[in-house]
Amino acid sequence: MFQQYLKDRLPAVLVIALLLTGLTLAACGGASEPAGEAPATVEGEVAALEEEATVETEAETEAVSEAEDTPAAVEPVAEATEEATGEELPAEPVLASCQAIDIPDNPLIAAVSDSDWTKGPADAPVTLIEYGDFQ
Amino acid sequence: MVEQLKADYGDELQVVYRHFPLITIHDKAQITAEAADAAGAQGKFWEMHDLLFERQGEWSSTPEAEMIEVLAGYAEEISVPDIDQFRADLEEDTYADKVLADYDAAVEVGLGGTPSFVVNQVNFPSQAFGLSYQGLDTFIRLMTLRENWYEQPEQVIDSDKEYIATIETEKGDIVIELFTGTAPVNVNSFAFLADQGWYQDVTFHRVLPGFVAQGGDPTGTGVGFPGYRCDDEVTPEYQFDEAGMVSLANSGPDTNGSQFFITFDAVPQLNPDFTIIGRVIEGLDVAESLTPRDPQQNPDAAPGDKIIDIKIEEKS
Repeated sequence: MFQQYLKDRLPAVLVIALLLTGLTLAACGGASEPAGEAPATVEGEVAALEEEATVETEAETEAVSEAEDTPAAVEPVAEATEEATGEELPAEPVLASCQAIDIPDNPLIAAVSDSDWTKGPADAPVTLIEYGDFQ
Repeated sequence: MVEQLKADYGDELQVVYRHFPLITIHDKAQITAEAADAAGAQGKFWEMHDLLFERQGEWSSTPEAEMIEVLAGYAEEISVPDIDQFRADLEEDTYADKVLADYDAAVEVGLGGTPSFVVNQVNFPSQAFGLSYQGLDTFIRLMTLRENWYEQPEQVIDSDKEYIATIETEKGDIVIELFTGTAPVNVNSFAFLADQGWYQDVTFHRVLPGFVAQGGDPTGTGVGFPGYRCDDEVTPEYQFDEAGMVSLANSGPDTNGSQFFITFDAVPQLNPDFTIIGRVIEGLDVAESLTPRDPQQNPDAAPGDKIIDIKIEEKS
């Protein structure tokens, strides 16, 4: 509720937060299938948006990776376009690959130290930091 | 919300509170933060923290000039040992600079408001997950899963060979012939994760009779993924034209991860958006016996039936 007044000084994260506002489960199925929302996951969107927050070097790495894939991928894509007018899907297998997705740490967050107010073991696998205002 | 998480996670969770007093719009944000620190200096931080939130309606309308008196009263209530010292700390602004430094640090982190949360050094995207117990719990599970992510699946199958996957569940075995020829990358990913034990004790978190049984997310929420995503491999050779088709769940094009589903009927509306990796050849009745569960309708439902393990074998 207090995001607006901080907007100017916090552009990067706020942009991500606003983008995330539209995040919903991918859905299809429609009225003909009342129970039929598509088997969806949400991680793709989360990860993709977090990727935008990564440093340029990662973006460059990805660009290089895409460039390497391009020659091999051009031909099947072109064939798919030719066949797009028909009912059938492209018969040629499209070359697929897998890409790493990381949700990086925020390097600006200070590590938990003795000066923090804490509850629970310091070596717990999960650390939840609340930034709060009593009022 | 945080109290409930602490109670549920126990020693698995460390909770940290940092001041982010919105001093430009809240006239008592600063002094209450100082009061918590002054109480904390005498071993009563969390008691004051809890009381300030509990009595927010009471002190928020108190004139500023009377605040120290009110806060000293709270300090007495929670048995701060040296009330005079507590009062002096507020009167002399002992912790004012520290609180302001906390504020600057919070701004530097890039927070959007209060409360804001960080889980394992990652900002919690509250607008996506929801500022609620369930939203935080889901994000905590995802960040816990992050420790087990892979950058890429290793190549574990020979795409010239045929493979069988056996999903051992609490209800029995489901045997699947894998379509190595049409979905070599995604079958390999599935086989890799199975070999790594990824699916052990993971549930079918979404089972909709007449539609699909979906599982493969260790968080049990539907947001989990293995640290990478794979492109779609869709072919006209296999369609969702009968029960028993096995496919990967996704969140849009080329976002296949670890979650998979088994169809209970022809579901042509899913063509051609999902990569089919196989077909049940034995144990469809087992799949159909899985306990129905709809996390969107009832997120608090009991966990789904468990996958004991998934084993991949070359077809003999």
